[in-house]
Amino acid sequence: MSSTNFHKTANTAAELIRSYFSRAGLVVLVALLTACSATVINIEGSFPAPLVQKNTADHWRDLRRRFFQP
Amino acid sequence: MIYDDGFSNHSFIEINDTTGDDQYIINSGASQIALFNTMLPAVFEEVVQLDSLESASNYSELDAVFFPAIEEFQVGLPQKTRLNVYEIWVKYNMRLARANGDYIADWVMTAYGKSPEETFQSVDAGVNDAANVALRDLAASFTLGLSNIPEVNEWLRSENVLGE
Repeated sequence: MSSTNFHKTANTAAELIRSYFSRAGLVVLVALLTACSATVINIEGSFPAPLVQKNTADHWRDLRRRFFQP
Repeated sequence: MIYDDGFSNHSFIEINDTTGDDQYIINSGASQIALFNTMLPAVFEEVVQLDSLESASNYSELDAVFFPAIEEFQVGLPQKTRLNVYEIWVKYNMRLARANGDYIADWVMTAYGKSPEETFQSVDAGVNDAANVALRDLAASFTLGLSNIPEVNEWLRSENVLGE
């Protein structure tokens, strides 16, 4: 391929790409970017069992007995 | 307990103030369930998950049915509030009914959590940290304050559950 032919081919390709993006491509690209603009955040909580006695009344009675009564 | 779809798939959409488009979609349903699945067995002797109130009849020894619901969810982002913290605020509606559907109690709880903004921290990480604090705040309020809610207290007394 001669130098002139190469430039002609390259220019045609560039024009094709440019025309593609200037028409449908650009519209699709903008639409895609708009649709994908929201960031999804998944809350990933870690919750070990809380330090709560099931039988709270008994727990406090026991504490009182141990610490406040002779 | 019954987790309805609105609760188990809870999702909040933060809108971009400039463009009006969705900016952040915050999915918290899975963590809400993880929290309640940890919290409720610590408060009640035995907990089973029901699909609906109708299925309560399959359990003869059911004392009550608990329905949590999220009424409001708000997020505070440093880029919008101009504060150096991420904030999460959640308003819950808690409902307790007898197995036959009769009303026991209905009350509102709020949870708040904040997390300081750090250098190079992603919004995802900041929101997650604040949400974790908020959910733990709810767990603490719920477990420690449940028996002080007047209608719940009355119900517990009627069932002779309270020790004194």
